[in-house]
Amino acid sequence: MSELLLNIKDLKVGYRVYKGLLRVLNGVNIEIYKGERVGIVGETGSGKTTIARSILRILPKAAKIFDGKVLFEDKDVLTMSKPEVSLLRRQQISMIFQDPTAALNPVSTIGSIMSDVIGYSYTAEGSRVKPSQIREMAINALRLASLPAPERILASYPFQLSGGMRQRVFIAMALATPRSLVIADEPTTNLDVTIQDQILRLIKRLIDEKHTSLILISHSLDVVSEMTDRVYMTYGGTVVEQANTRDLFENPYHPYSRALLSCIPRLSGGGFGSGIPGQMVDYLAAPRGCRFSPRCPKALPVCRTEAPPLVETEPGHKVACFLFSEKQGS
Amino acid sequence: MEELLKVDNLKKYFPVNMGSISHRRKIVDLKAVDGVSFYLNQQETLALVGESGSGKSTVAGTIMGLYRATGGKIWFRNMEISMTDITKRPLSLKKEIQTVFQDPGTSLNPRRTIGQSLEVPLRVHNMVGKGKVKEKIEELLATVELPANYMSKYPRTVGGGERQLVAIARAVAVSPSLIILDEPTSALDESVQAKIISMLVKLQADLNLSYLFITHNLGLVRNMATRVEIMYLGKIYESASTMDFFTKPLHPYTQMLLSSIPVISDEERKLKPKQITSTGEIPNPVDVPPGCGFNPRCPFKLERCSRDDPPSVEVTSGHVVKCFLYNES
Repeated sequence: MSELLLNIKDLKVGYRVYKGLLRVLNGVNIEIYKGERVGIVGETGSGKTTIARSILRILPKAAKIFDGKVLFEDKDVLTMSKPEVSLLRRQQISMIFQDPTAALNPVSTIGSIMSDVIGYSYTAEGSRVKPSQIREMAINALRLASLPAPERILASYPFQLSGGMRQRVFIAMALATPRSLVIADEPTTNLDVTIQDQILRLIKRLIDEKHTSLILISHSLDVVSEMTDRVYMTYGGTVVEQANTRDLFENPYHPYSRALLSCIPRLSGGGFGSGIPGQMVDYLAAPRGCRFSPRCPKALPVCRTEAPPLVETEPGHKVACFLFSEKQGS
Repeated sequence: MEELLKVDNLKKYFPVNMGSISHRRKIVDLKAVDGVSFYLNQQETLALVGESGSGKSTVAGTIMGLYRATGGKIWFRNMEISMTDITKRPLSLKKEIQTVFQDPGTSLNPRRTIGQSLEVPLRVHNMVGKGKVKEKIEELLATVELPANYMSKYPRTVGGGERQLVAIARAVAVSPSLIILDEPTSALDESVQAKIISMLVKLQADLNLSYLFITHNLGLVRNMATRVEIMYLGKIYESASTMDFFTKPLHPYTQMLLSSIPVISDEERKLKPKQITSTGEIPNPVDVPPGCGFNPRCPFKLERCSRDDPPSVEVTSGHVVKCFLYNES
């Protein structure tokens, strides 16, 4: 296996709110290798975005990191000094957000937004981008993102572009300079299916050409299934299952993964399940044991008191569920 | 099967001002719906599928009486309803056609409790006697499997899925025969979507409902609809039974749509047309390309496609497509 790029260890993050403390992430472990495309899937409120924001340290002020490490090339992002983190964002990691309309400044032209971003970035040789190179790099990046007439786009304001074009601009910007990791947080949620397909193919092509690693965060299992090599299934701020994409979707172990997959209406027909009873975890009073246990049809007594460890059921396929740790005799 | 709803050459144009602030006003027609015809039989689910900007919600709005049609006719149970002034629609007709909107967060009044929201249609349509309103609301909540104490809750205090169940309960409160579902689950998670859809399927059988199901989720269409209409730029490009539609998609746009859907299993992957990949975007409906609206994106474009608008032809029984490729005979 290739080199480890990002290693999230036992990450615990919460938010202080008026009512108390929301204990969201409860010991998340994630490993990203170089050149790999990894998906983090989960429903609304499962803590996916909190994971992404912890990596870049762009959590909101109310957030509190209790415990854990985010090792990027063996250096802990969480204990880095401000200049170090800033360098990380300018040189190593970039992020594609869900809503490019909100992420692009409406009173600046695309050209001025892009030159800000590129001007603060570094070239492949590790030196700052020279002001004279900026425009050329921006045009190149837009061309790579299959945008017609790049010069015209640089002179446009975000509202003059369609949603799909805005997202292309954002992707172009994220990958204009060499990066080792791109985090895409629901990059196609607001787009139509034909545009979504184009954007996903674009991300895939650019990521592969530039040998960048990708973390794709999404609630839609089908998008993750098409885009990634490996998947982490999250529920209630914990990773419940991790495996190669194909293995997880063809052969899920965790009761939550099974229930969720049965809810997907398939193109091949055959009907689908009737949903998962109950509600997403209330983080103010999260269950003590397995966080899925109150909704789990197969919950054992031990599930309500102890958090299940991740066990390897098959090589590379890990499940956090007592149903499977017993079988292994532990 | 009895025909419940029939739409014939429906048109809805919106005037928009294309002039800039400093120049003179220039009013042009935005042809949101431009000659749409279809029918819906009793107890059927007809899926109206299209991307944003295709005019599918305008069709729904015209049927439910939010807009007055620019042209064309709508019949409901052989009664023409398109030209009657919307404000003068008889109460008995309004009762028959109900709607469930996409976002229950905005379609339910935040200052009313769920019970109060459910009470309105009951009172307006005189569904039950005065003393029995509470009883009926409890019954309605039970129909959508919500506990009776939800009556005194406010919409914001319950989850998105439960809010949508309340919206469904409100729609079925007046025992309608047609429910227009305008993207009822696109704001919801998949596990919640599954719950809402299975509830809708159950209610359809129990209450003899017909659905006009507006969506862009083809996976749902496959599992729920009887027939499918594909809309693009205000027109219907393909119309077929669900089975025909997924096994033999004819129109290049339909094929592009199907090939664009992300799927999770190999079985589904086999169903996707291979020879066509998605390019381009839906044009601005104010500035529709001449000829076939799809021609700038079409890989099989013929010379005449950018000149003439193709007619709809029935290729096999019940399978209608609007494309010159199938117009040879």
